[in-house]
Amino acid sequence: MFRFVMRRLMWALPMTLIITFVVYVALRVGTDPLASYLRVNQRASEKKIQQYIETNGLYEGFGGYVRGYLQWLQGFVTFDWPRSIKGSREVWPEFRDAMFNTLRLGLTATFLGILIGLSFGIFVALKPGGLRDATVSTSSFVAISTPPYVSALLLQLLFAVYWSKWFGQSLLPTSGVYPPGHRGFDLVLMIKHMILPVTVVVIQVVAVYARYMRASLLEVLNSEYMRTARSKGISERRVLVRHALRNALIPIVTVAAIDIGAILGGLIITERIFSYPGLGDFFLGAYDNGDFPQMMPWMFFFTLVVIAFNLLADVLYAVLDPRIRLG
Amino acid sequence: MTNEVVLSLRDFRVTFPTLFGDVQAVRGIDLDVRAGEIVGVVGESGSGKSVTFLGLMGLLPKGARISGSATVNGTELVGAPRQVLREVRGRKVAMIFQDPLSALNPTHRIGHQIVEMIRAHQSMSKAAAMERAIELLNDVGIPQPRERARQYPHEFSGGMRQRVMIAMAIANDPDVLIADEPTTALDVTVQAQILEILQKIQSERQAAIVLITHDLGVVARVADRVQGMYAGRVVERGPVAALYDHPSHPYTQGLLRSLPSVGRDRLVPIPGSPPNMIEPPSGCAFRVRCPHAIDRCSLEVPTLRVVGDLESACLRADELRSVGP
Amino acid sequence: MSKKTSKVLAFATGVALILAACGGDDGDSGSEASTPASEAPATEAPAADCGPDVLEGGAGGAEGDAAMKITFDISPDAVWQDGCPITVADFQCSVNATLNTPGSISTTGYDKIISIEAGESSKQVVVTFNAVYAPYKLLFGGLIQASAVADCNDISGDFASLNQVSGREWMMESFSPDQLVYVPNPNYWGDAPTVERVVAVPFADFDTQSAALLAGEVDFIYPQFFAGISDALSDANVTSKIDFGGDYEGFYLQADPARGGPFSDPIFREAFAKSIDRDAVFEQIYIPLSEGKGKLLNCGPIVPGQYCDEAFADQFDPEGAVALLEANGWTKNGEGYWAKDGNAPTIRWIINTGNTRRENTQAFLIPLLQAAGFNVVADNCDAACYFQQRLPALDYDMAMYISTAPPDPAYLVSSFTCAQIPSEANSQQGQNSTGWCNEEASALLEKSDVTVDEAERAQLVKDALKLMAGDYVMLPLFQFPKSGFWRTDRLAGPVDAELNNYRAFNNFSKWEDVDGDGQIVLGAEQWPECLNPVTECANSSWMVWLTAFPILPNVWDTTNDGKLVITNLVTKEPVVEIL
Ligand SMILES: Nc1ncnc2c1ncn2[C@@H]1O[C@H](COP(=O)(O)OP(=O)(O)OP(=O)(O)O)[C@@H](O)[C@H]1O
Ligand SMILES: [Mg+2]
Repeated sequence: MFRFVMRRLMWALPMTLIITFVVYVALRVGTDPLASYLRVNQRASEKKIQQYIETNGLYEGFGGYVRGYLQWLQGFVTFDWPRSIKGSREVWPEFRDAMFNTLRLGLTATFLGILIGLSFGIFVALKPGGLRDATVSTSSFVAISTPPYVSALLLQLLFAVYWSKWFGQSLLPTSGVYPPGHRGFDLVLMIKHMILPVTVVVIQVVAVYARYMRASLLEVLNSEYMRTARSKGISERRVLVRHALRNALIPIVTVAAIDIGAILGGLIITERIFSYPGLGDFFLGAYDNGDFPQMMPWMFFFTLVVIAFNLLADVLYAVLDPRIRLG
Repeated sequence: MTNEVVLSLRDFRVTFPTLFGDVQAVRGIDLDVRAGEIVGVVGESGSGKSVTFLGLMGLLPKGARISGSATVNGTELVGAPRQVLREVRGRKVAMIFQDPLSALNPTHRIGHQIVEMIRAHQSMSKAAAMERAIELLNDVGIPQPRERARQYPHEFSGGMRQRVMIAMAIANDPDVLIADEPTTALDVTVQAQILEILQKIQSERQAAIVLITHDLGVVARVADRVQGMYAGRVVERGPVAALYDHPSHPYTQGLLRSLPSVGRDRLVPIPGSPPNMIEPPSGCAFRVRCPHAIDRCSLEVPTLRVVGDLESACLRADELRSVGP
Repeated sequence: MSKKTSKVLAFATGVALILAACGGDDGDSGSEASTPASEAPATEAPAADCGPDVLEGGAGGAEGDAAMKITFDISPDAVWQDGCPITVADFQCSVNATLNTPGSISTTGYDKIISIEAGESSKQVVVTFNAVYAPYKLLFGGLIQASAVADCNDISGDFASLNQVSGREWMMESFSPDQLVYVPNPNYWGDAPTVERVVAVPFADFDTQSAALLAGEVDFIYPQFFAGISDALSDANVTSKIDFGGDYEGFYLQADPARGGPFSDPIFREAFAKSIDRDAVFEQIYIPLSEGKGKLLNCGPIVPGQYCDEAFADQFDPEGAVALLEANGWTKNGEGYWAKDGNAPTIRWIINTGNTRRENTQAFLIPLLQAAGFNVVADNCDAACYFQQRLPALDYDMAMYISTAPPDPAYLVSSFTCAQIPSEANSQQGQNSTGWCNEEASALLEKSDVTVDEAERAQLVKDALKLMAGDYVMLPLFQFPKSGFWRTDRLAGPVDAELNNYRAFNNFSKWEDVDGDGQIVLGAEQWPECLNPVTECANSSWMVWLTAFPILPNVWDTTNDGKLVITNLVTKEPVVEIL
């Protein structure tokens, strides 16, 4: 097992480098960082342009790409990040804040969503075909087919706009991480501001995972080893927990690990509607300006997230399912 | 054979309500199994063999309706509370299933699966239970049992897995062992080994064994008595030798004809197919496929009657007895 | 209006604005964002190091003989947030920064300055120009503090995270992608703000900002006007003011002879323009759009005011168009299109795809024009392609877009004179995208730029516009409403007083915080991405509204009715001398 994990880890490093290099080249070719710089800085002096080229390693030719990439990578890991093309702002502090905001929102929502989704899935799988099953299946279908911006707007209307019309004060905030003008850290306020955006994401995640868990658990419940387990005379709880749930969770855990990256990347719309300053906004701004120094860290981050969670999925799968441990 | 009766069924019935109507899978079965004997239960696919025994163990899906009586060592199982059933399962009655790969949990270690069985009924430390499990694996002929106990089902061959199932089944010295087609999925040489193990268990532990199969050859080799089933009812039963030599029920006769054996060049399958159990034929269910059927067969449900050494549920058993297979 | 469009407008605006907003910022751009004002000692004594009162190297640098001189008398009370006096050094630094900072957005006007020197004292500023420059009131807005920057000739690296300079009511307390906070400047010499804090927060679109307003999370929003906006925001606690600003839309016909388009033929252009029924377009497109509040614009590329005499009214004359064409050898061909020498021109009409209003206009007008014998075809592309490529390259025959008219007509010179048609001579940087070249009109406009007398200048502009109307290069359509919405349970005071102003809602230091939460919250439809007031950061209206006007001192401010008036930075109207 240890060797398996080590070998995967050893793989992950070159994979990260290769993928980020490909991303780097794609951005270099696809967005032409120098052209974007010149478009944004119409009257930049020759000296400034040269400086921009050098700090960003925008050398030409394949050799130049490799050199530029290595230079970028070195700067990246030593936190010596080139400044944004617009306003020459430091990229790391803004990226860091956005990243924490997104991670906080995304991970909370994923975690809650999966937890609730699995519970619903179990709840209906234990009594399939009944009213309970139909209710949950229908509502998860509705939830899946409701685009997040619709549910977001509905929630905003209900808990903020109409609530304040009816009761004189809104129940939940619709925008930001804190109320406008707030300074410092405040857990309660932060949670309050996360409730609606988290709910929007949770609705989707719950729907997906409820269906997924239902299918997976039903399959396990109908398997023959469940009959064997029951024939042993062990308690029904033990049969469900040790034999059914554990096995039903295996495919889900691995999918969930991969999903987290997708959910984080998919927060863009939710973040926009809730004016939530996360990586979604960060990327849209960077992309609009063709801001190479801002886009690269974003790309790198998501490459890392995807690779890390894929690795985690592989490892978890191997840990949980002995049949996969091929070494 | 005057051993006490350990498993007894009286007018045992199982019905599954479905969208299309009630499936009457088992329609009144009587059976006595005594300690130390092997009873073969034979019948075509769908005749209700598995449902009978899963039913008495309470292992059928929730909708199944069970009636009649099923006692193990005098304990009534039909309608028994869950707690009673739990104590019977694995302790008094243990089961071995047809496909040992899917019957074992793929994600639990072999040793652990046996330990779980032991600890369900005996208060024993995990370590001690593991030692016992290794012993059991050794008993059923698994080499290097200590190492094998740490492995997972997919690392075992089919025969080895069935040995594991058997080891698990005998872990608590059950009074009755129900083997539901234990050899069907295995190749012939392995089949023989498994049957040997079963016979050994029967002789060494004095356990009663119910051997469910549609292979009369298997029954002939190991069983003491045979019970033939058709459409949820018993059609004929008695000592193995008698049934083989003078089967009196056309269905048993048909089964025997379809059996490959020395000196017969042609297998004759029973023509027709098993009946729809939602609306089974009136009277004798076999009459629609029976070459000897008479009008009376559709009017009267034949009961088991003594015919020679056998009991047969055929109205014309006496006449047909001489015909032979 | 799409966001892109408004950005483009904003840019047009911005150029003029920046003239007004050029100026200073704080020095040490790396300083921590959270504690800006802490070093500012209370009102009285300036901190020991205010830097020199006069810069050694002076400022400006234009060649030539002095043609105009302006003398400013800075108020003796005028000080920066740190108590240091505002002096000639700050004027010098601001001008040098605008002229020399790489990436400076516009140097127009400043490039005519020969020198800036101290007069009787460092509180008197004497600026000499190498030419008479009439729009001088657009200069010396958004001054920066000389001692706040390391190098007045390059402030491109300054103000990256915070601008702590202030010579107005407010000081920037923090700036981030999710909020901007202002607190009063304790050293401001004018009336102190009535509010303790002003916070601006960004929103992605109208839906989100309206939800925030209705939910009481923000107190005020200044959204793009659209039909139905009042209904969308109807609430017992929300009130609004609809006003008219400088945004106007028009048709533009590509007249550049060098490009050889169909409209480079003035006869054909005139006939085409005379065939467009602007009243019908107004009825069809703009009345439903404006909740009945808009007006058909007849001023030309300008909004009503002292420079407008309705020269573009009544251009619709279909019979006149037919007569004109026939008199000049045009006939209708087999397909019913006007043709000359066997050639019936195709007219490529460009708009940005996805803009419903403009698409509707095309759908309405193209059939009418075709019936009138003009083969007009839609030739649209997305906003980036339209505004960043096709328009600057003059690659269209007919266009339709919104512009913003600043209070001073100087922008007409850069947009409509011959010299400003993109060419080798101006390294393709010219901004005359209609390609219209009328020597007489150009001369008038150029003269207006060097005519300081207001009445005379207005007359020159009007004369030039009359020529433009006669040349049919531009057909004005509509002056757009502006809208401000605010919560009456949160805000009071003159909230609606300045919504028509070029500076928009910048009078918020006079607003009253009636809910007592100690702050006013503004919802921003666009968010400034950075703070530097002379570089590319300064190319949007929202940027200057939010991050320049509240803190950087101006000599002249605009009023709600479009006038330029002096601020308390100076003691009296600056003295302009033509030499
Ligand atoms: N859950 C169920 N619902 C409805 N009908 C069922 C159910 N389980 C079994 N049956 C029906 O009961 C009848 C008896 O099935 P059973 O499994 O006992 O047959 P069998 O004799 O064991 O056959 P095989 O040799 O194939 O195992 C069949 O007709 C089957 O279709
Ligand atoms: Mg069966």
